[in-house]
Amino acid sequence: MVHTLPDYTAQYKTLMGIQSADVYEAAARLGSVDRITRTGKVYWMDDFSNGIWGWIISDSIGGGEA
Amino acid sequence: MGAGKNMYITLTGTGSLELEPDYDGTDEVYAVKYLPYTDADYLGLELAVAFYSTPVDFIATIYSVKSGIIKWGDIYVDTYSDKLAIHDINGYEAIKTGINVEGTAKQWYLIKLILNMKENKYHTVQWNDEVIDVSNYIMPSTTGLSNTDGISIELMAGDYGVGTEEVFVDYVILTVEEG
Repeated sequence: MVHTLPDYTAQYKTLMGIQSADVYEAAARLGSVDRITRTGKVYWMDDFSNGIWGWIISDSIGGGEA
Repeated sequence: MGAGKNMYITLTGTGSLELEPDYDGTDEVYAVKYLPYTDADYLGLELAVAFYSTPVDFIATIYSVKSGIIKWGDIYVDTYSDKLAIHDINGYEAIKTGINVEGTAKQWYLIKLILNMKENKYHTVQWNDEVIDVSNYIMPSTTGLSNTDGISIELMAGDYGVGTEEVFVDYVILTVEEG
């Protein structure tokens, strides 16, 4: 639908960086008997299906791994 | 062990993040994700977490940086003392006791932390199907060195020095919530 607003308007601006469908079904697909509150709009998500790309991993002196 | 070493994916569904600190009692391992800033009255952080062995500390934190002011809130799962806690301006405050993630069958625990960014307060913490009102706790904030606006998510696992403990995170979702 075309809004009758100039292209420099701030009206109808969106705060969403990413909008994805059905991400709240992730919990349901895990088969849990528990139900998460499915509120809010998704700004960002990661289900690690592409590994840990984009995450910065660090550890204390003693060590650890991810 | 250095950052980024021994990276691998555990196949639980689509994949998971495994955080495994070493076990001399002082070790912590972090996974941090940096995101662009978004101006939201409420921010939500949703996670599915599994504890393969315990005791282990797990802390998930949202940091929001705007004009040099850092606001943050977290959820702390303490499997040694079997409690949930959040860090307010006075330190860690227990919000639920008696949790027991040590079972014969491993399961995912669903966590959703909602922060009231507008009023600098916590809002709610969901632990599985229980929603805990934490709106009387004030979020910490500080003036930091960071001049870059943004939001970051930090996941930390720390050990208690009695063995090798792992935490698995199956997904992380950052949401913009309505008040």
